[in-house]
Amino acid sequence: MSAEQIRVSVPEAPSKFKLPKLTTVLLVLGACVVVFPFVWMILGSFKTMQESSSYPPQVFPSQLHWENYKNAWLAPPNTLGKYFINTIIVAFTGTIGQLMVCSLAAYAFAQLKFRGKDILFALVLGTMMIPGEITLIPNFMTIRHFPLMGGNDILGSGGTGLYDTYAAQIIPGMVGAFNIFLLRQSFMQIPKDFWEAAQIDGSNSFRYLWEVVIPMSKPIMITVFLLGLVGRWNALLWPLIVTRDETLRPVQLAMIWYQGEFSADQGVVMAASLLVTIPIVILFLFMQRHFIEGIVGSGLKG
Amino acid sequence: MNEMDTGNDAVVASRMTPQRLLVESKRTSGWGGMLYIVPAFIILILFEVWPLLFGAWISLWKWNIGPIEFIGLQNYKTMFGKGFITRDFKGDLVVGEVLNSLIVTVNYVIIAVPTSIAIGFVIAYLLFRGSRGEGILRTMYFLPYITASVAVTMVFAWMFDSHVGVVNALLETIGISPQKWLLEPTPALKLLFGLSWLPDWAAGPSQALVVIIIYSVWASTGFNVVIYLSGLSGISKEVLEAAKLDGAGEWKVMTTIIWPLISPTTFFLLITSTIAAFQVFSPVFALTRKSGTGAASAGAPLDTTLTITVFIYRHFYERSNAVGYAAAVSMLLFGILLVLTMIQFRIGSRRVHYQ
Repeated sequence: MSAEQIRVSVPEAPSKFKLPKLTTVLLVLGACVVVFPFVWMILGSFKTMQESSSYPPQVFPSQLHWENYKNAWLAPPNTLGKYFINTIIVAFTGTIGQLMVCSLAAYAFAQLKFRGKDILFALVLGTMMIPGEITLIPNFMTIRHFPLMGGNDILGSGGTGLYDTYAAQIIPGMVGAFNIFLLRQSFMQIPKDFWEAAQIDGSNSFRYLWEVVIPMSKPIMITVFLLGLVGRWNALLWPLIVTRDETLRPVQLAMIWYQGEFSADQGVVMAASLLVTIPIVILFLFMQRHFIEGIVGSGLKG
Repeated sequence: MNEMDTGNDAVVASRMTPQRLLVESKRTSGWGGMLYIVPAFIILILFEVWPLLFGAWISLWKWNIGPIEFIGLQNYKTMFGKGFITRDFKGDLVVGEVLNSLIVTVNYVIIAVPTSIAIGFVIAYLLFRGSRGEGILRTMYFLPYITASVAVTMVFAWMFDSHVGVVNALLETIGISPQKWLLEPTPALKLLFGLSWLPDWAAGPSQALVVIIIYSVWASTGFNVVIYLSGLSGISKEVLEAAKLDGAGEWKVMTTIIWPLISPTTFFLLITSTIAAFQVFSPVFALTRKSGTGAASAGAPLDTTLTITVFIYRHFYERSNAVGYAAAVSMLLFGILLVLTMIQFRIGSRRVHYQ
């Protein structure tokens, strides 16, 4: 349809109008390559051990071996469910805590006035330049030697501190300067008149934040929430370092466990991979717009 | 950002009436606002600022579970000394372990980052030109970025398995013999072209590292697509139409108008992706661990996938006698990333803004 219209307006370049079709073909081919690992994972999750280790590979399982999912779920010492509970606790507590702490700070930087505000905000932005991997060793020490925790004395020795706890997995990554920046950008859009009106109604600044600023900034709150949740769901290195107890470890570390125990039975590993990945895929499919907005927002970070 | 802030304040100030000033004064009253930033600052200082200083301190010590002995710059001397160039058992000069990790990381970065950005641009450009099923295609391209994790890495380990992997099977159908992939320490270029005169350290990534690069490109391209699409949507349609009316062909429009206009986005992606890629850990850990022996093997085969972060992990976590040394290597990584960030700020502040 539209191609026809353009043909009328620009008649001198007919070769262009074969291109849209070629574009689609190229894009579909590319998408097949991109999606292939997922397809292979799904097919693999239904294969028996013989089928998954045959060569040349058997593409389709002879029948749907649902027992792979049952085995994957029941195999770890406390079932995969325990890892799920751990991830859910860590991801939700961490992300909700992050929203609260960052909203408070972002609100102060966007709407309130206080001494040293500009310097303090510059300091927050400055922490974005500190790469997470650099803080690894010292943060491990801080967790391990946290005073008065896990049998430690006030100087932080004698016990294990916050090592092998949920708190160790949750607290260190809880702020994120970039989230403060994103929320502040959104909070600044709210006209100052609203604050005056709220004050005439007898509101204080905290109630104003809770009843006006946050509800008005719902889209960015959802975006920060989703990106935080997915980041925590997919995290590996930090939980790997601050936990040893399998009953406290998150789902991605369960995958490391499967890798050790089921290296010969790819069917079970693929079933576990799929179980661990599906929640994120579903979340993404339903909330795609928010994810994309968040990612584009991160593109403005520089 | 700062311009925006002052701009905003200036607008507010210019509109100020006496009543407004009265109201404003309540919010200007000193320290009240600071209460709101206290929780964030406690965590930022404890887990971002302090570790930077503490890490620098640890790097001056011989340190295992706790401090053993203050040794000044000894860790740095070791790092730049036998960490860079050392002698093997025959007495020949060879690449040291730190330099090896740097080379591995640089090989990874300079291949994975431009490839991912180039493919991301092509896909974004094709999507921008319009296609049927654009929404679904965009979702499919973006999915790996959202799901990238150890769980998804597992399927790559299986696909690239040297015995039962589907990639070898596909290659065989076009007449290429099966490869060892994650078990292959030989540089990919040597496998392709011989080049036996070239020392391994100068011959680019090992075949094992190539698999990790393939995974990373797969996992990160979706991000570049989204950022490029947002950049492309800011290019004025009139400019493109005018160029076409002047008789400029598809290719010419792309190379002389779109590519220059989108270059700030390319620059942004190049720097931020490079900073992220220098810290790569998860795919290396998940893909190379099992191919060696036991947990300490991440970075196998023959340390040809031992990126800096995996090096730090190995020395800090699995050889607890080398914490000070690992901290010194962390500082080296920090220095590299700081230089990259400075370049970003320098050039980034001069660049054209896009919406």
